[in-house]
Amino acid sequence: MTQMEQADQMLRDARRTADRWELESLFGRFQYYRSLVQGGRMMELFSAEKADVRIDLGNGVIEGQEDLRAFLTSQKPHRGEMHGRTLLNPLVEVAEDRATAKGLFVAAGHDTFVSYEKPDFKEYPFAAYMHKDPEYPLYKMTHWVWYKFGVDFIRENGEWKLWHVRRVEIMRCPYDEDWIDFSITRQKYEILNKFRTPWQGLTRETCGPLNFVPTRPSPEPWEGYTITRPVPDNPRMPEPYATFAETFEY
Amino acid sequence: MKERGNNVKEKKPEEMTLEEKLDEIERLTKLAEDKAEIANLFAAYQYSHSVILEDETPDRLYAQHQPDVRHDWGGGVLEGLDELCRYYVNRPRYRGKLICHAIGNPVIEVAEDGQTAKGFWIAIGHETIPYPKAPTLEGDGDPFGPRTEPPDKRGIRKIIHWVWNKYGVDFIREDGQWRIWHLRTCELMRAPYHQDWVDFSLRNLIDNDMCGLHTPWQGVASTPLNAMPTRPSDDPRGGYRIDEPPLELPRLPEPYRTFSETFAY
Repeated sequence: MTQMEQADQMLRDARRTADRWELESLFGRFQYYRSLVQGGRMMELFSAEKADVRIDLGNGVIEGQEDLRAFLTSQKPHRGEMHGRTLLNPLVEVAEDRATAKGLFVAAGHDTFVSYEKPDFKEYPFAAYMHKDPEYPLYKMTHWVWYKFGVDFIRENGEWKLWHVRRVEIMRCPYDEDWIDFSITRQKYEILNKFRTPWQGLTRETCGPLNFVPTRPSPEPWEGYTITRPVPDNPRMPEPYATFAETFEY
Repeated sequence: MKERGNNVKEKKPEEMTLEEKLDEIERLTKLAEDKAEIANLFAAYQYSHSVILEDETPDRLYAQHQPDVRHDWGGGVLEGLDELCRYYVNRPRYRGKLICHAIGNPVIEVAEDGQTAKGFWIAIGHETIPYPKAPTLEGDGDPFGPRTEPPDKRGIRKIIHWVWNKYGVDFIREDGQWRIWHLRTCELMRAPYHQDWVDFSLRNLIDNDMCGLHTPWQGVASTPLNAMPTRPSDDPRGGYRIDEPPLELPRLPEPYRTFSETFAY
């Protein structure tokens, strides 16, 4: 190996190490903007050039620049709303050609909504979970929620961007209920059933500001922990790869 | 692409001389080392808090030569190394005290000049303090003392809280070593293990901040904890409230060249 070839190899390694840190920060930004319900800023983190930018929520895929922007920017923060999202367990692989990268993360978190009026589905996507407080004149939801995220990243004009994000719910439950119990009782919520198959019989208008009409069903549908199915290997862990054609897509 | 901080535009290897490649390798290696050191430094800060090694915290982790070295926890600011020592040294080590703040979600930016850096983390965690007798703010010196539950069947009063915090941190290189310069802690959520955080936040509002968490310097002349702040926070915060939307506190760091270009936590 010549001195120049050695330098090329070291430069590639140094750049991939720098990429690894940058990708973790990029997805950290995405999660923080999510917790602030700042959809426009989340959209800025996605590729502006790829037609197939997407978020797969497990119960539907929102795909394409227009659909994704409409979905992300339709959500507005409410008073009393809170989302804790702490990314942990990062597993990041940068392609040898550094054109793309893949990441797998686990997020520990919680979701909170509060409304002084009886909440409806158009305003509060989780209205079905919001219960009247026994002591105070308000409706609220206080859930623990853990997610897994599989992410494809792409380098665009020298900058890393999100390309495909797949979110898989690990566990969700009210603060005082166990998640086995909740996985059974959540099936009773009528509105949740709409959530489970949101593309059936719903339009943007009937969904209201949430605009949750997916572009297409999820390829591997999953709606959270259940005692009726084993935990899926979804999203899969990234493996080292040379170029994106060699690997799978989230 | 943005050309601030370390997001400099890359040249293709075939367009670079050997000297340029070696310079770039050196710069990127240093950048990766800096980020690793900063991540370790803030993890050490959190672990020191967990195992209550805080006597050593001002000397080991904070900047030694910056007059405005500080910790702003939303309820007040401790500024200056002496003030930080007053707070950290001799922190109470109750038997049964258990603190765990595990950080994740890192967003780290090192200035292009390599002299400062900014970091953001979110910690999941819990805090536990058992009191064998009814605590008071003055007597026990812990700002959470009066927030205990009624005594249990063994007569023990307890704090057993879930706690999530967000952190914005400015780091500075001093004598070749990274140090904490400005630390901003923003409580995201706090609640007893068996209570929901909406209920807990309402109870605290109704009880008029009974433990003084939000304004701990009011009405407390001196405490064994020595937790009197140097001054109030510029943006006083006490954690989750039902009358506010999610707030961007602290802000995320952005790439920058030198500290005068960016904001201070």
